Amino acid sequence: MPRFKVKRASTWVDMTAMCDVSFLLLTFFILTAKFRPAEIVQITTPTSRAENAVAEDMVTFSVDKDGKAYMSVGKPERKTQIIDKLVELNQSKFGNIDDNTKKLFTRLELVGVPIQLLPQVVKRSTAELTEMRISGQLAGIPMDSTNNQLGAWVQAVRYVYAETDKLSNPPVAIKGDRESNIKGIKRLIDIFKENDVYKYKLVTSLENKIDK
Amino acid sequence: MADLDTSSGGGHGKHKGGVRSKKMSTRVDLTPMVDLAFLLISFFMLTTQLSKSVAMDLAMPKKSDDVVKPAPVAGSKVLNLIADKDDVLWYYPDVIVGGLKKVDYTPKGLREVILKRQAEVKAKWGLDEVGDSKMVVLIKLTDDANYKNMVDILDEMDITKTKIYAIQDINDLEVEAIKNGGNANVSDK
Repeated sequence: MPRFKVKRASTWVDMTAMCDVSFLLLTFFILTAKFRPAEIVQITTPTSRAENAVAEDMVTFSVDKDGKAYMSVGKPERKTQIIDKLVELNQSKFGNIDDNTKKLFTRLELVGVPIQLLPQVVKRSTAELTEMRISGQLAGIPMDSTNNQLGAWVQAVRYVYAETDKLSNPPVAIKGDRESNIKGIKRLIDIFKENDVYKYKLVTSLENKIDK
Repeated sequence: MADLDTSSGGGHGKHKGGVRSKKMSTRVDLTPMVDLAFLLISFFMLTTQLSKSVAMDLAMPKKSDDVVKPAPVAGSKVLNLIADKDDVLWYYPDVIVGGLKKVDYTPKGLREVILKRQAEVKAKWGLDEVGDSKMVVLIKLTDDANYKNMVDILDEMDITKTKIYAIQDINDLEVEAIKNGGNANVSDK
């Protein structure tokens, strides 16, 4: 009687192909991922249902918990245009800014000091600026009516977008901390209004409640 | 890892002559590597989604000196919302300050108020051409309110499909009414 011998199949699964695929995907996600840049000023935005994405080429005016205002520009080449415009429009008020400062300014992530202090601040790295913020040395952009530098920045931003892109509404956004007092935001809105900026975005984060 | 030991067990059976060096398999077990890769994939997928911030649009009226005076609005269309400190929200219908009531920002609170007023306005004025409410919401913020309150109200406007709303300055009568716990002293004015 012949005896059948069941051939034992190997259970070894070849993982090479799977490994290839997974690393391909991994590479893709690493390359496309854009990490949130280290934030000098911590701002927890309020949540909303809004779903419009924030464009890259956008100027964001932030107001932190203490009501200090900051400005950040999305694209480096815009920074050059904006600072040039600012100097051009306000030479009598703030004096000139040397070329080196202007060059370094394009790498500055966030404007958070009065214009007069810019030459000292542009050399600092993001980490140093964060340090400054924690120790309270980052005073924010002055926006009171006697020294309305924020208005000067808004004006420069509006001119830049109006002249280069023929945009009557510059892409600006307000990013406020959820805890920040409304007075700071109102002041910012008033400054926008003074400079003929009527349309802007309010940066929020997605709401995770499902009570729509 | 990914296989079972199927080799007919070693040990029995005599080796014929000498010691044979064991043949090593050149197959490398890739399972842990795949595990790791998928872990990283999930991480990167999630972080790319999470870091996106979104924005809502806000349009404010132009400076009052270069627009014609806005047309007066019928009081029966109006709902006033006043954001106060500590997440307190006051509301009153119509244009006459008085009988302010407190409400909170939860869907049960604010949203109910808006929907109720919408129904009242609909009963009196009907809907506009596209089927939206004709209600006019006037949003006012006391100096003690915070930014979150403002965004919450604006978000609620979007949820309840209220198309006509404006952020206005709070007036003295309302400030006084809030101080009095909601009751305005109308006889003063």
